[in-house]
Amino acid sequence: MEEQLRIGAVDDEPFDRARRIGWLDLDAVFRTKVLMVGAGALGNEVGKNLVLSGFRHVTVVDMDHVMGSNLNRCLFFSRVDVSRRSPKAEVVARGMNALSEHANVESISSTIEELDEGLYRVHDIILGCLDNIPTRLHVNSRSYRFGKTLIDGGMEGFVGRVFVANPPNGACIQCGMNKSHAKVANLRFSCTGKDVVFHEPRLPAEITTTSVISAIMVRECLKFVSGRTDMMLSNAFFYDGQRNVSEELEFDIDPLCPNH
Amino acid sequence: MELEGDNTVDEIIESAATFWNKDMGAYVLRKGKKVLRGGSPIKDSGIIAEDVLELIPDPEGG
Repeated sequence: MEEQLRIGAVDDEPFDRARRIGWLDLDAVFRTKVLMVGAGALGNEVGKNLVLSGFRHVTVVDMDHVMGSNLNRCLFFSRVDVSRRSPKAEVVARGMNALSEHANVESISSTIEELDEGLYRVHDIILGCLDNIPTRLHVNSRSYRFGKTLIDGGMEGFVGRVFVANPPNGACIQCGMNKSHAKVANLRFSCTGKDVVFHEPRLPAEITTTSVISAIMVRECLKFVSGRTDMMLSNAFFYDGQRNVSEELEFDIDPLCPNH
Repeated sequence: MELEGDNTVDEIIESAATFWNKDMGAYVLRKGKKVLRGGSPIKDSGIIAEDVLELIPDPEGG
């Protein structure tokens, strides 16, 4: 039967406006399997942006539970989650699923280090929403080994950055690290190897910075799945919200980096 | 800042962070659009006299 012209039809389709962006491959977005590691402030915002951008198949990994201090910057968390000590991954996945009838978001409440590395193989792209260097290095090395693009965000106060590692081309996150990163990473471990986390961040996480960084991360993800790697960052985007400065910076491959 | 060719980018980062009382944390050193590799000696990293280098924080939080 021939499709009939109907007044107001353009306002019924949730992705009508997105379909008007010429380069955006929405069918690829719908199909893509995303692994999102970390469900804190950044994970909440990235998760929201993913589903509203059309991503349906997402796995959320986080080992932590919701705390009261998370509530000023985490869209999906509530006082009820604090009192129940709800797992962050579970709450974020539930919130993402509530945003779209098509969303199929699963959660895994565990450290990423404890999970089978096959997890990387079955996903198309990795989004890092982590809060520490050791886990970031772990995810970076596995993503690179399995040839998966990693889009990683980091923030502190009004400063943030997004790093895109696109194997086998270009530098990875480890290539961009130096002794100051090693110093911070080492502070997190006691002599028993137990994660003690006594290194206090210079500034607390802040929601407006989180919004900027998460938006850049998901936009890079949209470019990648739409086959527009030519428009992607190479390698990093730095943002300073106090000075109103943002800039794309380049990293060289470190010949001593074990991932290359 | 006075530098020798054998000084590394790591050493510049550490000295600059200490001199300006920067908080404990990760930093990178940039020259223009390029971020300089930590282990590189000055003589191999393309730094010349009067170059302006910028120390920028590399935030780890999420």
